Amino acid sequence: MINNFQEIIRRAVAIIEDDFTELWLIVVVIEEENPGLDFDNLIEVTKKVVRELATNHQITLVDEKTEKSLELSVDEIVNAVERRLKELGKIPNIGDGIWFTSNKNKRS
Amino acid sequence: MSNTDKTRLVDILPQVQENPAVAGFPEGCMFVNYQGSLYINPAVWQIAGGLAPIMAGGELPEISTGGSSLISRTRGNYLPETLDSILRPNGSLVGKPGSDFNIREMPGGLKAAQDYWDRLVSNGAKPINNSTYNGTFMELPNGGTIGFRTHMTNSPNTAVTIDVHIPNLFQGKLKFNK
Repeated sequence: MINNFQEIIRRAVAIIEDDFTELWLIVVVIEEENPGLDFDNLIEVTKKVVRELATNHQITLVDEKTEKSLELSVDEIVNAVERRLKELGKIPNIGDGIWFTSNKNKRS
Repeated sequence: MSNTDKTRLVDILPQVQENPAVAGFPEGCMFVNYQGSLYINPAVWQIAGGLAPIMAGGELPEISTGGSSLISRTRGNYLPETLDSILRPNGSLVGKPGSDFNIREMPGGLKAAQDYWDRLVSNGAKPINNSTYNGTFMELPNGGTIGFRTHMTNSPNTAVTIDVHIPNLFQGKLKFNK
């Protein structure tokens, strides 16, 4: 059960379309709309949010070295997020990686 | 203020507090008379050079330039500048809301961002080195973290982004625009 799913998506899209955004900030938005989520549920909710962002809102990941958007499938994006969260074993923080961008404002 | 001015700083402190510019301090600089001692932000110390001769004359009870206490001017009183007062002056988040209320648009570019960063880290922040963060990354005494970066942005108007992750206070970005 996800509270305010559409609001999470609306906010995440706005933030990511504005500028490169690291995973921790998307998790902050999810937590603000779903206070008290435990970590396991947070992973599942984050995966659903990221899948929606990648499927319907042209959101993808950024290569941190080149600062270019990566051409990845939806599954590859979701798997990268899940893998990182499980590696961390904690709520992501600044510097924990996984950067999002929107292909709507893709740099040439 | 001249070098021959023998006025004790403690005596002129009310004047300094009333009008920092008159006493050689720029408006908005930070200092305090803390339990009889004067603590000056080291960054401001150079500005306070006009006061040094007085201090050297032994007229002051105690001077510390190493203190990390930063003080903000609030309605004539001088109170320790807290993270809360830096990020939420007058109870509202700094800057203007951007694409989300967690994204704050700030004016002033690089210089303003550096000044703001100095205030955030002035109360005992410690660098975090074991991170892939592409910028300066620090942990605050309250457990929060902040980052200063000029990379990983595709906003052409953004000179610096300060990432702030302080639960129960502010979690978002401060985007300092050119």
